[in-house]
Amino acid sequence: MKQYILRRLLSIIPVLLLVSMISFSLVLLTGDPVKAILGSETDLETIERTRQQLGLDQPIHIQYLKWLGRVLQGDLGYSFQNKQPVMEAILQRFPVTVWLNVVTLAITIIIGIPAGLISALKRNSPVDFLTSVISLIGVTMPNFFLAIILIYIFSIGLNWLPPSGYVDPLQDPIAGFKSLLMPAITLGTAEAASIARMTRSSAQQVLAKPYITTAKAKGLPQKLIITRHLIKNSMIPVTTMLGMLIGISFGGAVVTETIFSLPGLGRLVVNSILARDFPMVQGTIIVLSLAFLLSNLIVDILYAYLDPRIRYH
Amino acid sequence: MCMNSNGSAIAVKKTFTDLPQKRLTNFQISVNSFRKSPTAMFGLFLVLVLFIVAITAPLVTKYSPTEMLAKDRLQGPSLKHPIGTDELGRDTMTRIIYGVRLALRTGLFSVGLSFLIGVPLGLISGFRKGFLDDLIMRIMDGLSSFPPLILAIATTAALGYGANNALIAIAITYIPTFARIARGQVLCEQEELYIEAAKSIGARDSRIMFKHLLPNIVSPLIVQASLLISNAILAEASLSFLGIGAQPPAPSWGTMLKTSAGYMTRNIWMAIGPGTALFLTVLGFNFLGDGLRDALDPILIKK
Repeated sequence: MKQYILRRLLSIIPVLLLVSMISFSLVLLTGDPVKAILGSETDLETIERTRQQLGLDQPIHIQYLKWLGRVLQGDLGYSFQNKQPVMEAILQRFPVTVWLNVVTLAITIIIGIPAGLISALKRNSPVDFLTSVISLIGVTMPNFFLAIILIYIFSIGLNWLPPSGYVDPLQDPIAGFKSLLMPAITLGTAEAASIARMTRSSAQQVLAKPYITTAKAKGLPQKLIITRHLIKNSMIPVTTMLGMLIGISFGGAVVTETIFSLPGLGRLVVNSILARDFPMVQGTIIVLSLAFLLSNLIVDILYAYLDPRIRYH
Repeated sequence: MCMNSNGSAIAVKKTFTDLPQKRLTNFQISVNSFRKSPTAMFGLFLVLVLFIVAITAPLVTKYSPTEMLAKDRLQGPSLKHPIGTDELGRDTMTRIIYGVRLALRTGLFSVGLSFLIGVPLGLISGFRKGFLDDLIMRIMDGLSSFPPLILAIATTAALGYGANNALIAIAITYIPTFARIARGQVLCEQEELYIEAAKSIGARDSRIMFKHLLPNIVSPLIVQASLLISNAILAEASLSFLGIGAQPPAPSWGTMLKTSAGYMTRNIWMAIGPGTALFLTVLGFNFLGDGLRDALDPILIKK
């Protein structure tokens, strides 16, 4: 087990290197960052000077190796735009994205899993049908459309929730939660729908197993069957799917963060790509990819841990 | 056996009491299975409607998508404008209808492009193995470690904004998927006897890959392609929503939703129109893709 974890951790490194190389070349293709910072009206001298200052006059591979050297020492560089250390900007935004994902995860689990379980227990009942329809809508609905509808109903119509902006839940829990609720619903609906479907099919498979029939034959009450046998055994594929979804939502919250003006990592990446802010783009992409890869790794480990059959394969 | 072989008939056990049963080809079985599913047929219906609307757009609506009638700005639904007008006085219904063209074009071409690049890569990677295989797969791993939307954004920013470049960017994000599936199928199918036979009579590698392997592994690839089309349409809308896909005044549902966000209080129909259109399009292709998957998957096992 430990060997497996170690091997997987090590295999992340070449992938991360590759990711950094790809993003480095992509960003270089986007155009001249110097012009973006200084505007188009400065003279050649200032342009050249700035270029030298930022180290952009050197060949690409030298730039890359220098950057790599700094990263290994923990220095992600300075942002072109904000004159702020990249690491600092990332750490500022990181909690926002984490909070968003935490609330989203909570919604996904609280709504998705029970819905799936109930659907499986009452197959082909109206409840099952309704849940299927709702989860279908949830998965197909484009999230920015859902966001607009939510804002229209809850902010403009009912004035219950703020249409945009972020409040730190640690400073003001209620306002913070309110500012995160709609974004989390936007992100979480599709996730909850996927989890509900997955839970449903997984629970159905478990219910068909012989040990459930044995439990029923022994006279075990339905409630105990559910708590003792059904839930734990259905959760294996569900947990792995949850892990995948977390990884995806870390980088995929871009649109949601944009609509609701949340100062998170997703928006940081997009804005720095558009502003051709090399160091920031490199830094944020590496962090996001690392989060993505780590969550995949955790999913694999969790899968091996939860299902002993995998371990002794 | 990795995949069902194409076009072979299914053997039926005959006894003297059996009536002779009609022999069905795999294709016919797939079609029957598809037809039986109401969601699949509904999806097919929706997609066909979309295609017809896209082709006959000028016949369906008399306005032009860029025609601005300044004095009719921000109207709600009426007889003259079934879904109202937008902030520049353009008829929303017309823009939605012309938006179908962009959505379909992006969906189909980006997935098509991705297929044309990814599948040969996967074929070569799986067939040749060795260093080439490692190299290609490492690059694919690198590409797929990017959160997909971010990769699309970065690529579009690199190539320049616009609908066409967004198309290419989206295609790039799907290449690893096709390459991996193709490679997996090839690794499995290579062990079959007919491949060994082809090799032993000296067939060229490219001939083996494209004439023998490809037709036999194409089913899961087609299923994957159909599932990705709705994804691609959503991705294009997201990119346009962020301002880096289709540029105004081109009618894209993404840009329409983006502008509508600023006019929510004055005219919510600007959002409802394109949003519903996007929803129905994604729904249609999802149903179609699911139906294809259920119809094409292990046909023999179903029997």
